[in-house]
Amino acid sequence: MPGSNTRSGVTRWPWALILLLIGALPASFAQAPEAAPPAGPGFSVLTRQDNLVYYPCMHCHQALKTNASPRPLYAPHLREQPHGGGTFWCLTCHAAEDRNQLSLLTGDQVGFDDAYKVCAQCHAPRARDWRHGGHGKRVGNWQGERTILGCPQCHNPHDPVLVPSPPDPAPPVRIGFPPPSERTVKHHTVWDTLQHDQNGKDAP
Amino acid sequence: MSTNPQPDQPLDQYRRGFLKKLGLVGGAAAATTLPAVGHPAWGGSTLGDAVGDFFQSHYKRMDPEEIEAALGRIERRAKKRLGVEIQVANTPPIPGVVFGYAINISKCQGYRRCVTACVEENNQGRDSQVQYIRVLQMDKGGMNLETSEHYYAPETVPVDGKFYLPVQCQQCDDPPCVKACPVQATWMEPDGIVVIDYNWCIGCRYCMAACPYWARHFNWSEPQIPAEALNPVTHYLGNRPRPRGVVEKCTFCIQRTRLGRQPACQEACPTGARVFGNLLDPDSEIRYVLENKTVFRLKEDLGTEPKFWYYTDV
Amino acid sequence: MFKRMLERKPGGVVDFMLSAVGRLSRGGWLYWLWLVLLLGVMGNGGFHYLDQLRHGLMITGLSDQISWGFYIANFAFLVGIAASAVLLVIPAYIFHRQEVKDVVLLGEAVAVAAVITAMTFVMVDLGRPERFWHMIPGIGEFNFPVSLLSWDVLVLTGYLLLNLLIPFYILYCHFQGREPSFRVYFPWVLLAMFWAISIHTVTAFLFSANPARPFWHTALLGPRFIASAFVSGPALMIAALQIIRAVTRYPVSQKVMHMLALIMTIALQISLFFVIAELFTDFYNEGSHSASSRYLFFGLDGHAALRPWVWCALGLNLLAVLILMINPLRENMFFLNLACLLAFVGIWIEKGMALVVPGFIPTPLGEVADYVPTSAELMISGGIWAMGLLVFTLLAKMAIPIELAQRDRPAEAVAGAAATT
Repeated sequence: MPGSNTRSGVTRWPWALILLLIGALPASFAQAPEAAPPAGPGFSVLTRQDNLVYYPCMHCHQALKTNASPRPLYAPHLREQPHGGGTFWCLTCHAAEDRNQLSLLTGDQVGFDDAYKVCAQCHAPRARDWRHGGHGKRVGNWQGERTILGCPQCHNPHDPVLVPSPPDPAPPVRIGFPPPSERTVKHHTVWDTLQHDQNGKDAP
Repeated sequence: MSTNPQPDQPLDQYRRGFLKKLGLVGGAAAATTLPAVGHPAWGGSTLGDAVGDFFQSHYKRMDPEEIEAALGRIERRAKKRLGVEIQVANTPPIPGVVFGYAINISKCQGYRRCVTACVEENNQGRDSQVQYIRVLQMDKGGMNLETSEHYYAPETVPVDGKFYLPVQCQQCDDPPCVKACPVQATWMEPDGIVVIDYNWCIGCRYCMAACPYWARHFNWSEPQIPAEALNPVTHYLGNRPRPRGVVEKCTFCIQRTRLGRQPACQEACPTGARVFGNLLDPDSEIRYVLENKTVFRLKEDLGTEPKFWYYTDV
Repeated sequence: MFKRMLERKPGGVVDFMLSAVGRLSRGGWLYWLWLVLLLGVMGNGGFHYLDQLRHGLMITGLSDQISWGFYIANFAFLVGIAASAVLLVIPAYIFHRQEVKDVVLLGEAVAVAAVITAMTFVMVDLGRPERFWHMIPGIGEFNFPVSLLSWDVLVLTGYLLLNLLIPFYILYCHFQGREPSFRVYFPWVLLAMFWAISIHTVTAFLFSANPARPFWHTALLGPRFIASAFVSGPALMIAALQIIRAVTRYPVSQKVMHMLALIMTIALQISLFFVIAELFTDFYNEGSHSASSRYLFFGLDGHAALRPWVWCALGLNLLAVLILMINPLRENMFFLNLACLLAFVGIWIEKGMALVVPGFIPTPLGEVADYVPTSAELMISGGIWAMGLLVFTLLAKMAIPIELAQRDRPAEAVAGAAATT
């Protein structure tokens, strides 16, 4: 765990500002007026900008002209961009003028390490949990300086759903015992059982 | 983990195979002490240490010097048996701290990374069935433990229609196991961790019958740990090597958490489902979860007051 | 005064004990054969126990899932045997029925043997038996009164002492050729009666104290234990008394047999009624509390190791109660013996394996596994049972000649001796 590799200097005010801004966004949002949460504990986000393979982006992009029209992209960029179900385009989050930065809805620019500010614009309740420790992960210690993982450290920003992966081995049995047998009675979800019963009744 | 006994393999044969494997992977350090891995005289300690162990008093009755001597005996024994220098600490609880744990079951994907990390951190016998954490594969649409699958092993998790419920010691505030123990070998520390004095436990296993969470495990045989896999940073009440014939359990990684570190299972969790912290600190993450999320506790109706919560994202 | 007692003079305590122990070395070939047989079984058990000490409890069939098994099952059953010795004490010492008084010492010998056997079963179940001293108040940390196990240790030890003390006094008086003083022994007899009920109640509470185990967590467990004890105890007594009657000239009245048979009949009826009550509660509305019963009687998830045993126990008990309820059959010694055997085995299964093991299945996390005792476990248990029989044999061997001598004395001699002391 790179617990020592932290970046301090994320102060509280930008966060409060964002919340205020979100609160002040369109009127349709206003009917669920979440009161500004308590200040909560301070934190710093584990840096990742230095680990990005192609960073700084402007290495290439300063020589390329900005093409704002949505189109399939080629390597090293992702062809597909599942996040947002087709409603997003690169420049929704990436700053058009300075590709080393991300952009907020307000037009302000933030660094890759502050990506959570971009995410929080839509995922406000999740961001609130994350800010206070109900979502995400604190690294290293439970007391003292609080370093937490930023959103892209777990979620691919372009395809945020976690991919299934193999589990670690099943529990062992006591030495000298045969391996546990599969449950002979297969249990099903409530709706599977109901469906089965329905089918049973319908059958002639 | 690869040493699960085969169904048709006789016990002795399995045992020999395991010892052989230990010798192979143990390398030079273990090779010199291999005879001590099996059933050594005096359990791998000198006669003096064996006598000292036998007459060792209850943890809470020992004065600092006696505790120092007890820690020294454990360190010497590990050195003699496995050739590993370990440090056995006796870090006291931090004043004003009561530990609590919460798991976000919307996030848990059933990877069992916590289980593996726990075994490595806490020096559980690799040949025994002692694992402090059980991850249950549950049917969606219900909360019936009796239909849970303990030994799930699909290609990938999560499996459709299932959710995952990791269960470990719930560090009850009114622990039935503590009440059950006839010799007070188990008790709740001031920081809320239920611990066992592994040198005082008589191995009657009444606490195992009393625990509603199946959190207590017994060393049916001498725990076997390859020398290079032994975690040398230990605590007397936590992950120090345990003898055969005693009950052991999760201690919220007392050797780490009393130094301010996260428990190994929290650290290993790839989904951030685990939240650990001080219940007395209103700014702690655990308090945020308890105050702002809808939480539940397992078998709350039994009145055990677990300090272990489950919550979901919404 | 104690010094005077310790001197070996005719009729003194030392003389009494030496002559009692001395009698152990006198006996026919049957006696010696019996002892050799018992010692052989014990030696075999001891050998396997050494193996258990060397390898740990992994030589048993126990696991984290089912952490108590055959040892604790026998323990629960034997505490019942010990408790039911009270049955003979009540008519003997309270109602002064002479024919019961004749055999009451044998009942107490059964109690002593059963308590020692039960305690040994707990000892072999311990993972660290050498740390037993941790339980001794003063040098250890005895978790009394919080832990039910500490209560059990306390009541069993007390019961053992009581059942050694009372016969010791009575036999000592008879040895001296006088009648024991009613005022001296009666308070202890009274205490022993309540104590007998308490040992089995506490043993039942040991199990029913655990909400974690719904199968045990029922208020009916205590009454069930007592009722079934009053079946298995008399069944064993009827068998033991007949053997004593056959191998010695000790007078065992047929009236005692009838009394014991009647107690058995009623207790077995009540016991079966309790079983029915449990079954109804478990199966009319099946909830999570009935999973263990389902496992026990019908099997769960393909695991059903106990199913044949529990149905067998039910069958044996039903057959036994049928025999006992028909008067001519009950008064026929052959059928009575048959009923005793059936009921003894039936209760042994019902209160042993069929009570202890299903409490662990399914585990509190819903895992279903089977438990089958290993041969080592059976050997060790067999050795302990043999030890119990040996204790009873030796106690009876010491007590019977003293009693016979007392009976052979003319009544006036007894009265005279009583007047001089």
